[in-house]
Amino acid sequence: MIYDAGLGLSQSMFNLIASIASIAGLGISIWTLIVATGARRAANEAREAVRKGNATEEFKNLTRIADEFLTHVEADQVPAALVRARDLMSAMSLASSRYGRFLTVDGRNTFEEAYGQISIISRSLSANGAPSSPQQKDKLLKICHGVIKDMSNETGTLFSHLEEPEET
Amino acid sequence: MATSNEYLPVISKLLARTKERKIDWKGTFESTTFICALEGQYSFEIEKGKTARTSTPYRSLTMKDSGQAEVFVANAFVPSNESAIENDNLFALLDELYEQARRIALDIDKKVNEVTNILDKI
Repeated sequence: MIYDAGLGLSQSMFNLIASIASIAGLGISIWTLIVATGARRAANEAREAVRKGNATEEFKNLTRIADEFLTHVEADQVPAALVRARDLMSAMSLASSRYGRFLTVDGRNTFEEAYGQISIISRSLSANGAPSSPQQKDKLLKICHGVIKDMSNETGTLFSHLEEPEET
Repeated sequence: MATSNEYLPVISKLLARTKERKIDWKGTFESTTFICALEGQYSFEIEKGKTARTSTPYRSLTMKDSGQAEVFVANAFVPSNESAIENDNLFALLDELYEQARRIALDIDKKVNEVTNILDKI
Protein backbone atom coordinates (compact mmCIF):
# COMPACT_ATOMS: atom_id res chain seq x y z
CA MET A 1 0.00 0.00 0.00
CA ILE A 2 2.71 2.39 1.17
CA TYR A 3 4.80 1.32 -1.80
CA ASP A 4 1.87 1.92 -4.20
CA ALA A 5 1.16 5.34 -2.65
CA GLY A 6 4.86 6.28 -2.97
CA LEU A 7 4.88 5.09 -6.57
CA GLY A 8 1.70 7.07 -7.35
CA LEU A 9 3.18 10.23 -5.76
CA SER A 10 6.43 9.97 -7.66
CA GLN A 11 4.52 9.34 -10.92
CA SER A 12 2.40 12.44 -10.25
CA MET A 13 5.56 14.42 -9.55
CA PHE A 14 7.10 13.05 -12.72
CA ASN A 15 3.99 14.02 -14.72
CA LEU A 16 4.04 17.49 -13.17
CA ILE A 17 7.72 17.97 -13.97
CA ALA A 18 7.13 16.64 -17.51
CA SER A 19 4.21 19.07 -17.99
CA ILE A 20 6.27 22.00 -16.69
CA ALA A 21 9.17 20.97 -18.92
CA SER A 22 6.93 20.71 -21.97
CA ILE A 23 5.35 24.10 -21.26
CA ALA A 24 8.82 25.58 -20.73
CA GLY A 25 9.97 23.93 -23.96
CA LEU A 26 7.06 25.43 -25.83
CA GLY A 27 7.84 28.82 -24.31
CA ILE A 28 11.48 28.57 -25.33
CA SER A 29 10.46 27.51 -28.85
CA ILE A 30 8.11 30.49 -29.17
CA TRP A 31 10.77 32.83 -27.79
CA THR A 32 13.37 31.40 -30.20
CA LEU A 33 10.92 31.86 -33.08
CA ILE A 34 10.25 35.47 -32.09
CA VAL A 35 13.98 36.21 -31.78
CA ALA A 36 14.72 34.48 -35.10
CA THR A 37 11.91 36.36 -36.88
CA GLY A 38 13.14 39.64 -35.42
CA ALA A 39 16.72 38.85 -36.43
CA ARG A 40 15.61 37.95 -39.95
CA ARG A 41 13.58 41.15 -40.21
CA ALA A 42 16.54 43.17 -38.90
CA ALA A 43 18.85 41.47 -41.42
CA ASN A 44 16.38 42.19 -44.27
CA GLU A 45 16.05 45.81 -43.17
CA ALA A 46 19.84 46.17 -43.01
CA ARG A 47 20.19 44.62 -46.48
CA GLU A 48 17.47 46.92 -47.88
CA ALA A 49 19.16 49.96 -46.27
CA VAL A 50 22.45 49.00 -47.96
CA ARG A 51 20.62 48.60 -51.31
CA LYS A 52 18.98 52.01 -50.91
CA GLY A 53 22.35 53.55 -50.05
CA ASN A 54 23.90 51.96 -53.14
CA ALA A 55 20.98 53.15 -55.30
CA THR A 56 21.42 56.70 -54.00
CA GLU A 57 25.15 56.62 -54.82
CA GLU A 58 24.48 55.11 -58.26
CA PHE A 59 21.95 57.80 -59.22
CA LYS A 60 24.20 60.58 -57.81
CA ASN A 61 26.94 59.18 -60.05
CA LEU A 62 24.60 59.40 -63.08
CA THR A 63 23.94 63.08 -62.46
CA ARG A 64 27.70 63.71 -62.09
CA ILE A 65 28.51 61.98 -65.42
CA ALA A 66 25.61 63.80 -67.12
CA ASP A 67 27.03 67.13 -65.91
CA GLU A 68 30.46 66.23 -67.29
CA PHE A 69 28.88 65.22 -70.61
CA LEU A 70 27.13 68.60 -70.80
CA THR A 71 30.38 70.44 -70.02
CA HIS A 72 32.13 68.70 -72.94
CA VAL A 73 29.18 69.35 -75.29
CA GLU A 74 29.16 73.04 -74.35
CA ALA A 75 32.89 73.25 -75.12
CA ASP A 76 32.51 71.35 -78.45
CA GLN A 77 34.88 68.68 -77.11
CA VAL A 78 33.37 65.90 -79.19
CA PRO A 79 35.74 62.98 -78.36
CA ALA A 80 35.45 63.67 -74.59
CA ALA A 81 31.66 64.12 -74.90
CA LEU A 82 31.41 60.76 -76.72
CA VAL A 83 33.36 59.01 -73.95
CA ARG A 84 31.12 60.54 -71.27
CA ALA A 85 28.00 59.70 -73.31
CA ARG A 86 29.12 56.07 -73.43
CA ASP A 87 29.86 56.10 -69.67
CA LEU A 88 26.49 57.69 -69.00
CA MET A 89 24.55 55.17 -71.09
CA SER A 90 26.38 52.30 -69.49
CA ALA A 91 25.76 53.65 -65.97
CA MET A 92 22.09 54.37 -66.79
CA SER A 93 21.56 50.89 -68.09
CA LEU A 94 23.16 49.39 -64.96
CA ALA A 95 21.29 51.67 -62.55
CA SER A 96 18.00 51.06 -64.32
CA SER A 97 18.32 47.26 -64.22
CA ARG A 98 19.65 47.12 -60.62
CA TYR A 99 17.62 49.83 -58.95
CA GLY A 100 14.72 50.43 -61.35
CA ARG A 101 12.33 49.04 -58.73
CA PHE A 102 12.97 52.11 -56.57
CA LEU A 103 11.69 54.35 -59.40
CA THR A 104 8.07 55.06 -60.29
CA VAL A 105 6.77 54.09 -63.76
CA ASP A 106 7.11 57.74 -64.80
CA GLY A 107 10.64 57.76 -63.40
CA ARG A 108 11.59 54.68 -65.37
CA ASN A 109 10.05 56.22 -68.51
CA THR A 110 12.11 59.36 -67.94
CA PHE A 111 15.32 57.34 -67.70
CA GLU A 112 14.39 55.25 -70.77
CA GLU A 113 13.77 58.42 -72.79
CA ALA A 114 16.92 60.08 -71.41
CA TYR A 115 18.92 57.06 -72.53
CA GLY A 116 17.37 57.34 -76.01
CA GLN A 117 18.16 61.06 -76.21
CA ILE A 118 21.80 60.58 -75.16
CA SER A 119 22.15 57.68 -77.58
CA ILE A 120 20.84 59.77 -80.51
CA ILE A 121 23.07 62.75 -79.56
CA SER A 122 26.05 60.42 -79.28
CA ARG A 123 25.39 58.89 -82.72
CA SER A 124 24.96 62.32 -84.27
CA LEU A 125 28.16 63.71 -82.68
CA SER A 126 30.03 60.62 -83.77
CA ALA A 127 28.82 60.85 -87.40
CA ASN A 128 28.76 64.63 -87.89
CA GLY A 129 31.08 66.09 -85.25
CA ALA A 130 30.25 69.24 -83.31
CA PRO A 131 27.10 71.15 -84.36
CA SER A 132 27.79 73.16 -87.49
CA SER A 133 25.50 76.11 -86.79
CA PRO A 134 24.50 78.15 -83.71
CA GLN A 135 20.92 76.88 -84.17
CA GLN A 136 22.09 73.27 -84.06
CA LYS A 137 24.20 73.95 -81.00
CA ASP A 138 21.29 75.68 -79.33
CA LYS A 139 19.02 72.71 -80.03
CA LEU A 140 21.67 70.28 -78.76
CA LEU A 141 22.17 72.21 -75.51
CA LYS A 142 18.41 72.54 -74.98
CA ILE A 143 18.00 68.78 -75.28
CA CYS A 144 20.99 68.12 -73.00
CA HIS A 145 19.65 70.56 -70.40
CA GLY A 146 16.20 68.95 -70.65
CA VAL A 147 17.63 65.46 -70.18
CA ILE A 148 19.74 66.50 -67.18
CA LYS A 149 16.82 68.40 -65.62
CA ASP A 150 14.50 65.40 -66.01
CA MET A 151 17.13 63.03 -64.60
CA SER A 152 17.86 65.35 -61.66
CA ASN A 153 14.13 65.68 -60.88
CA GLU A 154 13.66 61.92 -60.89
CA THR A 155 16.82 61.42 -58.81
CA GLY A 156 15.52 64.00 -56.31
CA THR A 157 12.16 62.23 -56.14
CA LEU A 158 13.97 58.95 -55.62
CA PHE A 159 16.11 60.39 -52.79
CA SER A 160 13.10 61.82 -50.96
CA HIS A 161 11.29 58.49 -51.40
CA LEU A 162 14.28 56.54 -50.04
CA GLU A 163 14.72 58.89 -47.10
CA GLU A 164 11.08 58.52 -46.01
CA PRO A 165 10.77 56.40 -42.86
CA GLU A 166 9.15 53.08 -43.65
CA GLU A 167 5.75 52.27 -42.17
CA THR A 168 5.96 49.50 -39.59
CA MET B 1 15.79 34.96 -88.27
CA ALA B 2 12.60 36.90 -87.61
CA THR B 3 11.27 39.16 -90.33
CA SER B 4 9.75 42.61 -89.80
CA ASN B 5 6.32 41.24 -90.70
CA GLU B 6 6.32 39.18 -87.51
CA TYR B 7 6.14 42.43 -85.60
CA LEU B 8 3.26 43.91 -87.61
CA PRO B 9 0.70 43.24 -84.83
CA VAL B 10 2.84 45.11 -82.27
CA ILE B 11 3.47 47.96 -84.71
CA SER B 12 -0.25 48.17 -85.56
CA LYS B 13 -1.14 48.33 -81.86
CA LEU B 14 1.51 50.99 -81.27
CA LEU B 15 0.03 53.01 -84.12
CA ALA B 16 -3.52 52.58 -82.76
CA ARG B 17 -2.51 53.74 -79.25
CA THR B 18 -0.53 56.62 -80.74
CA LYS B 19 -3.59 57.71 -82.73
CA GLU B 20 -5.60 57.60 -79.49
CA ARG B 21 -2.98 59.97 -78.02
CA LYS B 22 -2.14 57.48 -75.30
CA ILE B 23 1.56 57.48 -76.10
CA ASP B 24 3.78 60.43 -75.35
CA TRP B 25 6.29 60.68 -78.20
CA LYS B 26 9.22 63.05 -77.73
CA GLY B 27 11.44 64.89 -80.20
CA THR B 28 15.19 64.31 -80.24
CA PHE B 29 18.34 66.08 -81.41
CA GLU B 30 17.79 64.44 -84.80
CA SER B 31 14.77 66.27 -86.18
CA THR B 32 13.55 63.14 -88.00
CA THR B 33 13.76 60.78 -85.01
CA PHE B 34 11.17 60.46 -82.22
CA ILE B 35 11.21 58.33 -79.09
CA CYS B 36 8.78 57.08 -76.48
CA ALA B 37 8.94 54.83 -73.40
CA LEU B 38 6.28 52.41 -72.21
CA GLU B 39 5.73 51.54 -68.55
CA GLY B 40 9.41 52.15 -67.87
CA GLN B 41 10.20 48.82 -69.48
CA TYR B 42 10.32 49.29 -73.24
CA SER B 43 11.16 52.12 -75.58
CA PHE B 44 10.58 52.79 -79.27
CA GLU B 45 12.49 54.94 -81.71
CA ILE B 46 10.91 55.85 -85.05
CA GLU B 47 13.13 57.35 -87.71
CA LYS B 48 12.71 58.79 -91.18
CA GLY B 49 15.82 58.82 -93.32
CA LYS B 50 17.54 58.17 -96.61
CA THR B 51 20.15 55.54 -97.35
CA ALA B 52 23.67 56.93 -97.66
CA ARG B 53 24.47 55.32 -101.02
CA THR B 54 21.26 55.54 -103.06
CA SER B 55 19.32 58.19 -101.11
CA THR B 56 16.35 55.82 -100.96
CA PRO B 57 13.87 57.05 -98.32
CA TYR B 58 13.17 54.62 -95.50
CA ARG B 59 11.32 54.39 -92.20
CA SER B 60 12.78 52.51 -89.26
CA LEU B 61 11.28 51.47 -85.95
CA THR B 62 13.49 50.12 -83.13
CA MET B 63 12.14 48.53 -79.97
CA LYS B 64 14.43 48.23 -76.95
CA ASP B 65 13.98 46.60 -73.56
CA SER B 66 14.85 48.12 -70.19
CA GLY B 67 18.45 46.90 -70.54
CA GLN B 68 18.58 48.86 -73.83
CA ALA B 69 18.96 45.66 -75.84
CA GLU B 70 17.30 45.83 -79.27
CA VAL B 71 14.19 43.65 -79.26
CA PHE B 72 13.56 44.26 -82.96
CA VAL B 73 14.29 46.70 -85.75
CA ALA B 74 11.70 47.06 -88.52
CA ASN B 75 12.96 48.78 -91.66
CA ALA B 76 11.00 49.54 -94.82
CA PHE B 77 11.94 51.41 -97.97
CA VAL B 78 9.71 53.68 -99.99
CA PRO B 79 7.61 51.47 -102.31
CA SER B 80 8.79 51.06 -105.87
CA ASN B 81 7.94 48.86 -108.86
CA GLU B 82 10.40 46.24 -107.67
CA SER B 83 9.66 46.35 -103.95
CA ALA B 84 7.95 43.44 -102.20
CA ILE B 85 4.37 43.79 -100.99
CA GLU B 86 5.54 43.06 -97.42
CA ASN B 87 7.91 46.02 -97.61
CA ASP B 88 5.18 48.26 -99.02
CA ASN B 89 2.70 47.32 -96.27
CA LEU B 90 5.30 47.84 -93.56
CA PHE B 91 6.34 51.17 -95.08
CA ALA B 92 2.74 52.42 -95.03
CA LEU B 93 2.41 51.45 -91.38
CA LEU B 94 5.73 52.94 -90.31
CA ASP B 95 5.14 56.10 -92.32
CA GLU B 96 1.79 56.67 -90.61
CA LEU B 97 3.35 55.95 -87.22
CA TYR B 98 6.15 58.41 -87.98
CA GLU B 99 3.67 61.15 -88.92
CA GLN B 100 1.54 60.53 -85.82
CA ALA B 101 4.63 60.50 -83.57
CA ARG B 102 5.81 63.75 -85.14
CA ARG B 103 2.41 65.37 -84.58
CA ILE B 104 2.49 64.45 -80.90
CA ALA B 105 6.15 65.28 -80.26
CA LEU B 106 6.00 68.66 -81.95
CA ASP B 107 2.46 69.45 -80.73
CA ILE B 108 1.43 70.05 -84.34
CA ASP B 109 -2.36 70.03 -83.70
CA LYS B 110 -2.08 72.80 -81.08
CA LYS B 111 0.19 74.89 -83.30
CA VAL B 112 -2.13 74.50 -86.31
CA ASN B 113 -5.12 75.53 -84.17
CA GLU B 114 -3.24 78.56 -82.87
CA VAL B 115 -2.20 79.69 -86.33
CA THR B 116 -5.78 79.15 -87.55
CA ASN B 117 -7.04 81.42 -84.76
CA ILE B 118 -4.43 84.02 -85.62
CA LEU B 119 -5.39 83.89 -89.30
CA ASP B 120 -9.05 84.26 -88.36
CA LYS B 121 -8.29 87.43 -86.42
CA ILE B 122 -6.15 89.24 -89.01
